[in-house]
Amino acid sequence: MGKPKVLIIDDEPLLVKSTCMALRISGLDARGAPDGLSGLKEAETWKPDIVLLDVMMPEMDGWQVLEQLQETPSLRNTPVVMFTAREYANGKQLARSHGAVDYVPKPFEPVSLIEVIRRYVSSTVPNPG
Amino acid sequence: MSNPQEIRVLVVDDSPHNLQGVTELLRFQGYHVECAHNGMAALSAVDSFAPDIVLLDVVMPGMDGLEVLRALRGRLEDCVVIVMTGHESLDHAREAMALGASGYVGKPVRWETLENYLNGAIARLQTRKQQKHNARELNNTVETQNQHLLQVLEEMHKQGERMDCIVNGMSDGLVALDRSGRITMLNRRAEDFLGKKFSECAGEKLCSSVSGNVLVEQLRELCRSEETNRTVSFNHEGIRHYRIQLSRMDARNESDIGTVILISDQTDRMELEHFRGTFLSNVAHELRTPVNIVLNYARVLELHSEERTEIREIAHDLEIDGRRLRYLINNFVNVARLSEATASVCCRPTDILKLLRYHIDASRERAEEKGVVVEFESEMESAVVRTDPHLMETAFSALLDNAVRYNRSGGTVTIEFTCDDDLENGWFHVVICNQGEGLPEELQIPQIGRTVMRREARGAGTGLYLASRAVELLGGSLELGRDGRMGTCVRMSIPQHSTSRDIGQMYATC
Repeated sequence: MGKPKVLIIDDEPLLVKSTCMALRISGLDARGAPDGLSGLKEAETWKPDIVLLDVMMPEMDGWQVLEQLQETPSLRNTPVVMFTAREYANGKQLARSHGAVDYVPKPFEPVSLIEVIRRYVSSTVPNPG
Repeated sequence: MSNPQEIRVLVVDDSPHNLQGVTELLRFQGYHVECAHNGMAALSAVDSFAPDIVLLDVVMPGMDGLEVLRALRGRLEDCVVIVMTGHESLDHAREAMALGASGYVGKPVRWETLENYLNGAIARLQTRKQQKHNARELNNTVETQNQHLLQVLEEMHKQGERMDCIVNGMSDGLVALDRSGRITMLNRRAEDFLGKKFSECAGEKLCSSVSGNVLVEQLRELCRSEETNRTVSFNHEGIRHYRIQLSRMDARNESDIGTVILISDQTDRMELEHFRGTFLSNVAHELRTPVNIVLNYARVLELHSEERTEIREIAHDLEIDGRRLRYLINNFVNVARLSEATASVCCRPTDILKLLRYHIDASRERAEEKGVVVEFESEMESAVVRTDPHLMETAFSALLDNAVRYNRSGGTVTIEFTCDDDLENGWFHVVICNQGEGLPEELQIPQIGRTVMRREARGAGTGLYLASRAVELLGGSLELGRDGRMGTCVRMSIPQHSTSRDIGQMYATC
C-alpha cells in the first residue's frame, strides 16, 4: 500500500509549502493547492485520501469548495478536515454540519495534524511521534 | 402708655370756665394737656399737637363739636374722642357716637367719671396700637414669606428648566407612565422614537394605544410583564438596534410616576462591536498563520537534523516559542472576545464531566514536562448540564493551564468535581488546586485581569480573567481560596441550567 495522499487547499503559499514538507518528512504524500478551483481540479485528478481545507479563501471559500467536493461523485467519500485561523465558537460542530469530518484550529502542530489524519484515513499513516 | 405724662389730651370747650377747670384737673393728674376754645382751633391743634385723647364739647358757637367730629372723620384712628355734654343735649351725644366718638361724659365734668373714661380710652388706644403693631408685623412676615416663596418658585422654575434641558437633550428616549400606565412624560428623543408628540398622547394608556411603530409595539409587550425591572434588546429589520429598559417604581414611593422607560439606539455601538469583532478576527488570522508556518518548519527541521544536535536544539526552541506565541494569540483573542459587552452565551446540553476530563488529559502532557502530577477522581460517569461548552472550555483550559504553569516542580494539581442533586436549580462545582507560590493575599476576583500580572513567571495574567469572565457570563461565580496551604485553589460554581444570551442578534455568533 502506498503512502496516504493528503491534499492541502489554502491561499497561504508558505503555509501550504511548510505543511506539505512537514507531512512528507513524516512519511505522507502531500500536495498543495493555492485556491478552491485548482484544489478541486487537483482532487479530481490526484484522488487524495484526505483533504485539508482552509475556510477563509478569496473568491471561493472553504465551505463552497466543500460543497463542490460533495457534489463530485468520485470525491463524495473523501474525508475533509477544515482548518481555519478564524474564530468559531463551535468550529467542530459547524464543520460537521457542513459535511466535513473534523475541524482543526490554526495554528496547529504537524504532530497533532497527523493524528487527525490518522483518525480518518484507513491506510497506514506513520506514527507522528 | 400707663404713665399719664405720656398721654396727650386736647380739651375743646367754648366756655373758658369749663376749659380751665378740665385742663387743670387733667394737668393735676399729670396728663400732657393742650386746650382749644373753638372748633377751628381744635382742628388745627389736632394737626399740631397730635393728641391721643380729645375731650370735645358738643355745643359750641360757630363750628360745633359734631362738625369737628365730621372734619376729623378718617383721622380718628390714632386718637380717641370723648364728648362732653349736658343733659339737654343727649341726642347730640348719640350723634357724636355715630360719628366716631368713643363715649360721652356729662357736664359738669367730675374727675371720678372722667377717670373711668380716660382709662377706657387709654386701654382702647393701647389695643389699637397693639393691633396696628401686630398688623404691621403680620404684613412684614407675609411680605418676607412672599419674597421667599417667589425665590423658591423662581428656583423651582430654574430647576424645571434645567431638568427639561437635560431630559430633552438626552440621547436616550425617556417615557414616564403613571401608576395606571398612562403617559405622563415623553422627552424629545422619545417623541422621535415613538413618532408621536407628547401633546398627542398625554394621558393615553400606552398599553392600549394602537400604533404601527415597532418601538411602541415592543413597549406594549414590555408593559404587560409584571417584572419590576426588565431590559430588552432587539433589532428592527436588521438595520437599527434598540435597547429598552423598564423600571417600575416602588409602590411605597409617593410620586405619581409608576414606570420609567428608557429607550436607547444601540446601532452605532453594535456596529462598533461588529467592527471590533471583524478586526479581531482578521488580526488573529494574520498572526496565527505565520505561527503555524514556524511550527511546521520546526518539525521539518527537527526531523532533518539527524545527528546534528545544534539543529535539533534550534528546532526545539522554535517549537517552544511557536507554542508560546500560539498560547498568547489565543488568549489575546479570547480576552478580547469575552470582554465585549455583547459577548454571546450559547447553551446546549453538554457532558461537562467529559469536557473536563478532556482538558485534564490535555493538561497532563504539559504537566509531565514539568514533573507535575495531575490528580482527578470522580465517581460520576457523566454529568450532562445545559451550558456553553465553548465558555466552559475557555475556563477549564485557562485554569488548568495556570495550575500546571504556576505549580512548583514536582507539585500536584488536584481537581474535584461535584454536582448538586437538584437538576433544575442545582449547580456544579469544580475546584482546581495547585502547590505553586500562590496569588497575592490581597487579590480579589473583581481585580482579576486588571491588576494581575505574573511577574516571576512568564504569562500575561489573562488566565484568571478569562475563567472569571466565562463563569460570569454563565451566571456562576469564581472564588479564590488558599486554605492555609501553599498554592492556590480556584472554585467555580456554575448553574446546571445557564441561559443563552445573544445581545448582538444582528451579528449572531451562536
